This record gives sequence, C-alpha cells and structure tokens, in this order.
Amino acid sequence: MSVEENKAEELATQKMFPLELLELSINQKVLVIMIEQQEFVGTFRGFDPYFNCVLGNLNSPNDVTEYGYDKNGNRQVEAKLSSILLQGTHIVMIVPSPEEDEPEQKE
Amino acid sequence: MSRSSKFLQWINFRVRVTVQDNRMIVGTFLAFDKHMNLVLSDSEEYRTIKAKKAGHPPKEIRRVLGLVLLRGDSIIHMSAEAQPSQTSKRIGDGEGKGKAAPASRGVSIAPVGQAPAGLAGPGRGVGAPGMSHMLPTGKAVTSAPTHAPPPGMGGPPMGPPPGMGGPPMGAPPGMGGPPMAPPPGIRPSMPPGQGPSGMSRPGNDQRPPPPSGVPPGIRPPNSN
Repeated sequence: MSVEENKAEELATQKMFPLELLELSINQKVLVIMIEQQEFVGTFRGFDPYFNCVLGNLNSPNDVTEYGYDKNGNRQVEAKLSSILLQGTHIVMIVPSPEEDEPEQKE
Repeated sequence: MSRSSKFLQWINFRVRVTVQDNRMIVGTFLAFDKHMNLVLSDSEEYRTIKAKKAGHPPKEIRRVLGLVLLRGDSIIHMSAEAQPSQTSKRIGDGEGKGKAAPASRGVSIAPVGQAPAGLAGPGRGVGAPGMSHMLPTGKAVTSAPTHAPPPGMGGPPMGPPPGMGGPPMGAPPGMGGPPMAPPPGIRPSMPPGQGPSGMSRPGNDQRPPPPSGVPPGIRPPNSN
C-alpha cells in the first residue's frame, strides 16, 4: 500500500511517463490483463517499447499464474507457469503490486 | 493550446475509460504519454456479463485494481467524471488546520534552508563568537598568530622576548593583536570583550561548538 502510494505520489509530482512506472515495477509482482479475458500474475522481469513483457522466474516452476474467466464471469486459475513472454499488442493493462487474491465484489 | 495540454487539463480528474473488451476503468488520471498509455490510481474495473437467461439484467462485476497502467491502443474512449478537488486525496492538497502529518522521533522538521533543530549549532551568544566579531576592525591588520612562538620557546631571531610588546613578526601568544599593537592593557581600537581572545584565528570562526553533553535522543554509551 505504501509502495503504491509512493509511486502515485512520484507520478503526481514528477510528471512521470507511464513507461517509467514499469521500470519501477521490475522484479515486483504484477498483474497483466490481456485482451480475451486472460490475466497473468507473476514477477515482472522486463519490457520493451512495444510493451512486450517477460514475467516469471526460471528457478521457480509456479511463479506465473494464468487466469481465465468462465461464462459466469468468475476468475479461475488456468495454468501455472515458470516464465512467459507476453506480446505487447495483446496487453490491456498492467497493475503493479496487485493485492493477492483480491476478492471479487459482485453487484 | 496543443492537444496534449488539453489532455493535461484532465490530470488528477476522476476519469472513466472504456477498454476494448467491455471493461470500464474508473480511476484518478495521473499520467499519459504520446501513445495515450495512461496511469490511473485508485482505479476500479467494471465488467458486464451477459445474463444466462434472456430478460435478466446483465451482471456487473466490480473489482478494485489500485494503481494501473493502461495500454493506449486498447482504449476506446475516455471521459472525465469529477473534478480533482472532489476526489483528490493527495498529500499537500488540503493543507489546513487539523491536518495530520507524519511524525518521526521527536525531531521537528526545519524549514528548507535551515538545519533541523538540534543540528544547527549553538544559538546566538553561545559558544564561539560570531563572524562579525572576528572580522578585523578599523585599521587593524590581520595578525598571524601561527607565526607566534609557543610560550617559552623563544621567538624568531629578531623578535624581542615575549611580554616586551613589539614588532609585527612575533606577537606573543595569548594576545594575537595586530602588529604595532600597544602594550597589553591598552587596546584603544577595540572595545573590551570583542578583541581577539587569543584562542582563535581571524576568519576561523567556524569551529564546532563545544561539546554540550549528549545530543538529544541518543543515549550515552554505558549509561546503565
């Protein structure tokens, strides 16, 4: 929470560019939301100007978790991976330091 | 006004962004770049799910995301929802009475340009005399006490013995007076109490203050 507030403060005061936020997130846990209702949570390793991203840790087999959605819109684990390269054009959002297993609130 | 500055008008606004796959993100707009990548804070994601049976209203799922980086090419449209003054929770935006501030270990934070309390050295009148008192006054020439011989060691060959008062080269220690100074006891050009004290050199008033015990907040070693 405090890390997030610090980043937000930095963004608000220093007029950072969005990609600089990504640099701050390297080696931290991120949630990457892709198109087609696909999500990945893992350690953020790196990125390039096209937003291609590498998640994971080759030494731990379950570092990256892939999530999908069923027909009712509930998130479910689809796969556990050690490392993955995500193509930038399919990425919608990146959430640095996501809350672990955030409960979904239905309305 | 350029296009980016129009976008800048929305900074810190609460914005609602629609993304390609029926998602809507509502968050505080912090930053953007030329690709329209956005950074939103305190953001929430809304997704609408079609109902299984016809006639039922579609289900909306809300999820709190927090700080989010949104890729620009997936953004469909974006609209401002609220002024920043209504939503901002930034530190420093609403300063006033009763504002909470972080406190550390009892050390008050000094204004910019000043040393923090307790680190600024002695106050006025404490410790070493100030710079103005140490400047030579009037026609006085800076003396050079470094050339003065130590007591009892004899002076340079040409100087008279200490205590005789005399030529500029060998002022006795403890006086440090200007060359050609009158004999001790007669100091017409300096008011009492402001003359050289015999301990300090001209221009060297930056000595550290005399140790005044232990700094606050630090326990002396072996105190127990």
